[in-house]
Amino acid sequence: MLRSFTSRMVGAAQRTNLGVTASAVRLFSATSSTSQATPTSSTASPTTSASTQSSTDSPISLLRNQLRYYAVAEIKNRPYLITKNDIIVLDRLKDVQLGDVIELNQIKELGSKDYAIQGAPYVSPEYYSIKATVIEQPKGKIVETFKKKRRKHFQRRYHIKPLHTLLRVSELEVKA
Amino acid sequence: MVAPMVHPVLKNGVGAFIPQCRRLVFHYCERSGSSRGMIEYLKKDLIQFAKEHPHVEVIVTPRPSKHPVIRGLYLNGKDKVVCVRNMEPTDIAGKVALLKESSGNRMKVFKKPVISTTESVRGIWSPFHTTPHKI
Repeated sequence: MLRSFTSRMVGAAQRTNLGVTASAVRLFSATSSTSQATPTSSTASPTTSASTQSSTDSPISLLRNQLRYYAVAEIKNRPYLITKNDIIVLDRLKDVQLGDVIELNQIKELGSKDYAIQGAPYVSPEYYSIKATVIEQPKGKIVETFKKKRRKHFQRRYHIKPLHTLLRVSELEVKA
Repeated sequence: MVAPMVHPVLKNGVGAFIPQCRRLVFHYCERSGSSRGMIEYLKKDLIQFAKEHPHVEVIVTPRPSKHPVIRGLYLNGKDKVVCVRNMEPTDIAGKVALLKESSGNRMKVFKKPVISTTESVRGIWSPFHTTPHKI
């Protein structure tokens, strides 16, 4: 997973749920002006906009100007990095039917190519709209666990047939 | 020269959701004992199921001297067959729900938590586009 590009904004949510403070915005503009090896098309324009209007350009509007988004959603305490049209494979949810639309509201990170907003612990729900549809609730293939201790006359075979719920991410939008 | 068939990329659930189970066929034998639970299910629970799922075509056909069987047909043309011999109506209802909720795809091991065809949002890592190492 790509981790080393220059213009990421990181901060603890002291004042806002957005997870970005004013100091982080200044940090962003400082690093991108000094770094040499940056892709020119992606960071050139954000650099100028941030340095001239860093106090008025909110992080969410910078994110909104990008093209494609991803989100790290937390479902049943597990993180799933999703984009639109993805299929999420979960353990079986007992209380959903086929076709139900689930709104995801525990989002740890919301990002794009150049920017990311990290929630502390979650991003405020007024900045996104993420929905997933239950498309299938299949049974998985038999998984065999084989345990053996040699020369001790001990071996066990466990078989499980996992139950899953498949969710299709039908909507992933960033609202400014 | 005939133009090649173009198949659309289907993403069930994004715009509209279409349930994948198209038809359920119930076979039973009127005489044999293994169909006893099946006949009870057909009398008690099947009509309620058919009303709740109008998108599924339900067919009930006697199949003499054979074990009771439920055959599910799906939108991708594949079918799944489940033998319900000597099962109670509650167990048969569970098998019906299993067939109704799955698609025609084979059972498989899901290795990754997210199945995605979109290219990565942040791009592939490149050593030429990182902050230079400082000593």
